[in-house]
Amino acid sequence: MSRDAVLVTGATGLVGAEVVKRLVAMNRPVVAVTHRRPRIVANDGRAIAASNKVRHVAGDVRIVRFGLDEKVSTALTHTVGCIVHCAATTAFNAPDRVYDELNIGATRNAIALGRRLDVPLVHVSTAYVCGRRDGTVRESEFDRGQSFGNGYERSKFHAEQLVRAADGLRWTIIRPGIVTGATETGAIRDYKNFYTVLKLIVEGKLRTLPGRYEATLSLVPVDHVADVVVAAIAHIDSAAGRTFHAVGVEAISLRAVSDVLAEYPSFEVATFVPHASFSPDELDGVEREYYLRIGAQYTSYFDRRLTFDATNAVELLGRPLPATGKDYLRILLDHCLDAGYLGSPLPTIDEILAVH
Amino acid sequence: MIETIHDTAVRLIVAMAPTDEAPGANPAADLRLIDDLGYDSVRLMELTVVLERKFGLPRQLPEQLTGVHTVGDVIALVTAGASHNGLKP
Repeated sequence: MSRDAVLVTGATGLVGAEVVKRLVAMNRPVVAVTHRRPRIVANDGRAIAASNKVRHVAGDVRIVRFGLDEKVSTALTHTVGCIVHCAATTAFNAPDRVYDELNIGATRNAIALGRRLDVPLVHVSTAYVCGRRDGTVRESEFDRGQSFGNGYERSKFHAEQLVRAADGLRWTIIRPGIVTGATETGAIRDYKNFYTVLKLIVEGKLRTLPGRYEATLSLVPVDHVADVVVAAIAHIDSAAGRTFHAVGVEAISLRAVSDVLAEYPSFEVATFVPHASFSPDELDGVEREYYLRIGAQYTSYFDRRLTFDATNAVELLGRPLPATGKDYLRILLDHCLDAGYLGSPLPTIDEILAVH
Repeated sequence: MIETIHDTAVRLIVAMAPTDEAPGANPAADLRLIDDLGYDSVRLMELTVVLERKFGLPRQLPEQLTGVHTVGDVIALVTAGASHNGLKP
C-alpha cells in the first residue's frame, strides 16, 4: 500500500481547510484529525465532504498520539506519508494553560507521531515568532533572545523550538504573516484578529491607540498560505530542514492603512500616538473597555516595523509573492462591506443599556 | 411583575445577538452564542460589559470566560456573580 496520504491537524481551521481543499484537488488522500466539529469548510464557504479521499479520524491533538488508539495508529503507518500540523489557537488573550496544551503540547504530540510513523512533519508556525523587533527578518533566523508581543507569539516560538530540536525528525516550517482574505476576492470565512481590531477602529470604538505610523503589518492572503504549505508537501525532500515565510510581497504601514480607511466615507480612522503619551486612563469609559479588553492585545503590532524576507518561499513556489499593499487592503475592506462585517454596526453598549 | 436576573440576562443576550433570525424571547439554554446567535469576539466582549454594568459584576477575566459557549453558560455566570451582590436570581 502506498503511503501518499497526508495527515492534517487543524483541518477545520482557516488554513487547514484550504490545505485539505488543495490536497483533494491534487488527488492526495487526506486523513483529518478532527475533534469537536468534524466538518471541513473551505474559505469560500463550501463544505468538503468526507469521502474515500478525505477520511476523518476522531482525535484530540492535546493528547499523546492525538488520543488515537493502537489499531488506528498502526493503520496510519501503512497509509500516511506526511503530517501537516495546522492545529493551534490564534487567540491573543488565551490563558497560558490553553497555549501550553494547544500550541506547545499539540506540537510535541505531532512530533512524536511523526517519529512513530517515520514521516516528515510540516509545521505551521507564524512569522511573528520573530517577536518584538524591527527590520528585515530572514527565514533562517529564529532565536535571537527576542521578547514577544503576546502569549500567542511566545507559544508558537516554543512550538517551533521543539520542532527544530527534534532529533531524527524531518521537518519543514511554514511561517504565515497575519492571515487575511483571498487574493482576488478578499473573501474570508472567519473574521478574527486583524479583522477584530479593524472593526473596532472603523466603527470608532478605538479612536486613539499607541503606535507609530511607520509600523508595518504583514498581511497575507489565506490562499497564498495554503499554496506554500501544499508546495512544501509536494516538494517535501527539498523542503526538509527549511523554513518558509508565507507572506505577501510587502508589509503595509499604518500610514497606508489609515490613508486607505480614510477613502471610505462611513469609516472612522484611529489616531496613533507615541506610547509615552498614551494612557488608557484618559480614554472615556466605554473606549477604555474596548482598549483594555481587545485593543491592548494588538498594540505590539502597531509598534513593529518589520519586513519578512521570503526568498525560500519564492523559490519553492516558482512565482512572485502576492501583492499585499494598499490595493489588497481595499479588496479586503470591500469584501467586509459586501459581507456586512463592516458598515452595519449593531446597537452600542450605551444604546443597549439605555433601552434595557 | 418583577423580572428575575435570569430573565433580564436572557433579554440582553437576545437583544445583542447579531443573528438575523430572531431567537425568540425564550431561547433554549443550549443555544450557542457563536454558532447559533452570530456572536463574534467583539460582540461577546460587548455583551460581557453590558452584563457587568447591568448587574454590578466585577470585570470578568478571559480565563473565566473560556468555558462560556451557550446561553445557559452566560446565565450561570451572571446568576452566580449577581447572587454575590445580594441580588435574587
